[in-house]
Amino acid sequence: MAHIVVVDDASFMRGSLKFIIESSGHEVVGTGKNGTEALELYKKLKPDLITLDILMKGIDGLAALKAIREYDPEAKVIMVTALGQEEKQRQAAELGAAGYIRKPFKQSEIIDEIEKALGEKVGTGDA
Amino acid sequence: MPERDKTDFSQFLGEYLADVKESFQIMSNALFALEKDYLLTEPLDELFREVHTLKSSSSMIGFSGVMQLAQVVEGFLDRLRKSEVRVYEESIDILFEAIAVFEKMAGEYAESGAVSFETEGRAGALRRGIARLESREMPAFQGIIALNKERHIEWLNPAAERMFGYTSDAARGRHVSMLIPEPNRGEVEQFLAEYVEKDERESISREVPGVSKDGSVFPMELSLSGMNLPERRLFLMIVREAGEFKVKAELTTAIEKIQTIRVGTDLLDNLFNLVGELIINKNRIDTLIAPIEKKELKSAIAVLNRTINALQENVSASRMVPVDEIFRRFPRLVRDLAKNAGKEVEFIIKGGDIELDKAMLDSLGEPIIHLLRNAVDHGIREDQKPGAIRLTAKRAENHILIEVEDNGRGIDIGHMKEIAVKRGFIAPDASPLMQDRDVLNLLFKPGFTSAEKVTDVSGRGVGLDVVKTVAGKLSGSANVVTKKDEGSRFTMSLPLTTAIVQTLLVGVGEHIFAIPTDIISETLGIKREEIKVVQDAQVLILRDEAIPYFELSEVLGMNHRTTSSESRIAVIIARGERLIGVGVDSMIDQKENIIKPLDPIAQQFRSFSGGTILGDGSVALMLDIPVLLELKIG
Repeated sequence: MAHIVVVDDASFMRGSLKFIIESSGHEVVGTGKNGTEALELYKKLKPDLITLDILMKGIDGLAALKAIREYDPEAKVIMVTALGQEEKQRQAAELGAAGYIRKPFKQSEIIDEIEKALGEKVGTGDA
Repeated sequence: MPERDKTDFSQFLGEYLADVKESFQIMSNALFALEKDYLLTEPLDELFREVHTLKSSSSMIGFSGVMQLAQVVEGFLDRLRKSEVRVYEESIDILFEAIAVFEKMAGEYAESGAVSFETEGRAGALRRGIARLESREMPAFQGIIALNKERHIEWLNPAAERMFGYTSDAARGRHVSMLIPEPNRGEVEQFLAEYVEKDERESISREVPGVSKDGSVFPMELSLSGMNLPERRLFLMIVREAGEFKVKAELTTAIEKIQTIRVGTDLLDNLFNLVGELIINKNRIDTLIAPIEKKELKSAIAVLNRTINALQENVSASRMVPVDEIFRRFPRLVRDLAKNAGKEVEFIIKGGDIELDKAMLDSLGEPIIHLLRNAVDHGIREDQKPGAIRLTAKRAENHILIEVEDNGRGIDIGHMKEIAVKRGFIAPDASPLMQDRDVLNLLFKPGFTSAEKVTDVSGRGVGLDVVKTVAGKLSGSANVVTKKDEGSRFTMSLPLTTAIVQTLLVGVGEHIFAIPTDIISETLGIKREEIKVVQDAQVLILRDEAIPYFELSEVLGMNHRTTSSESRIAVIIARGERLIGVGVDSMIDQKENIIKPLDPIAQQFRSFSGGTILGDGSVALMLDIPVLLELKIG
């Protein structure tokens, strides 16, 4: 069971993601609604994984991803994106995102993506 | 594991509704911001983000109607923010309507799980409206003609309809050769037949002539490809006009896109200020080198001056924007005002392409709003179905005129006098003596309103004085002409550009003052005895006409005796149709000067609109002539 933080500016999305993640046996230890909160929560809760919505007001998902990966180069970050955001997705990949969840959500995709990210060793540290 | 995907998100309905409520508020605010400035990108980004989220969450919670509409709106917003489609007033109306429909739909889904017939209708109208706005900006240059195997026309797309002048319905069933001029029919027909017969997989193209319904022949590039329908095979003729005109139009648009970049206005302001500094220094150098006899130096400086002038012209030009930038906000305003006042108004805008300095244009919004309000509220009568209000921008010599004209009841000057007396603007015994023009000028006085009752629209005692104040600040003027039962016309006359102004430098005693040349009709040398005193007021006889005259030193309250000097310079100021003489000791120079605002303390002296630095480094104050005249002759 992994500790996961969910960040999205819409409470509906936060609620839905939390529900799906928890019904697959993981624990959502915190939720945030913008990029600033994302970094704060990451520092405070040291989760195994964090999900970030790409489009958010103010500090968006990409900026938060960058900040979190700078703070912890091994951070596992899953980006929440939508169709038509291929360019942002590419940027996220460059910044070291561990995976993507596409909106509208499908439960199976979310779980697969999370399991995949948790299973992989991210970064260059030795096992 | 398909069953894993059957998550029931409806348990989050509360969150969904709270989100959308917040989201609609954000979207409305963004639209209000956009309405104020169509060029802002931030509100569009914000709208896009909100609609994007709305689309996803609606899809998950199963509100498919909201999701589908959000998808359309999202695409539209995306094209707006990428500047593929321009923001029009209608675009903003449509987006407001979109928010309203979203709200309605979400509410109906939450309540009954379905969208009402009526709301569905509104959503449909919205989708059509968006499609219309999008197609307006994305002209499909490619005509497409679908042919059957026998080369009979099945349909034309709108571009092809435009190109050939037939509607799709009129062309249906006829042979494609009607689109080819007679001499080439055989050859083109053979080309088409071969392609269709061989049933080629790949598309081919060649240049052939085409002929439109009106008989004009034009070169076109024709590409052919096949298309399989379930039952049969169609052939698509894709035609693109290859003639100069269309191709050139396309090329020009492409080039224009590259040639236009967006620059922040603060950067332009900086540039403008720097050019101003440069001009001050240029004037200073001109003064310094005057006594130096060095031909090379002088010619080098002459070249430098030319370059600086060109630079100034270019920088000024870069600040010019079409008045349409603010005019296009007004149709909606007038519509709303008229509606509230229960009147019918036809609103006409003319000269939207006239360009004005950006800084000037920014300050014009408020006075124009007041003039439009005034026209709707006081000008147009209830029984006019409809009344007309015309907003015009036009160039007159070196001025820009902004006019608001209505064909309503006109201003009742007698009634205005009564009010003016009642409110203490004029003394009761002065009333009969006042000229119509002076009475009308009271309209521009702070606090003067003729409204009998305070309405939502105007008559709150704030209003037309802002017209005069703003015009004055921009070194311009305002006036009104009116005729009973025919209407009124308010005109703001503005210089082409502010900040850098052609000025006449005049001397009074040891002081030098600057007067903007665009309000000067002429200057003449006069003798003291040419000034007469009529009814305690000085007048100057100019071409058999007596015009008001006063000494500048007098109005400014300067301790300067002019009687010693017998010859005077009269600067004749044109104020509307009226001429006024202003006496000074001497004329010094005529120069392009950068006008700097005075510091707030000095601004209390309303007689001066700014200061300028002269070639020798001293400061000359710029006279605010309209204010001065007001002080002197009201």
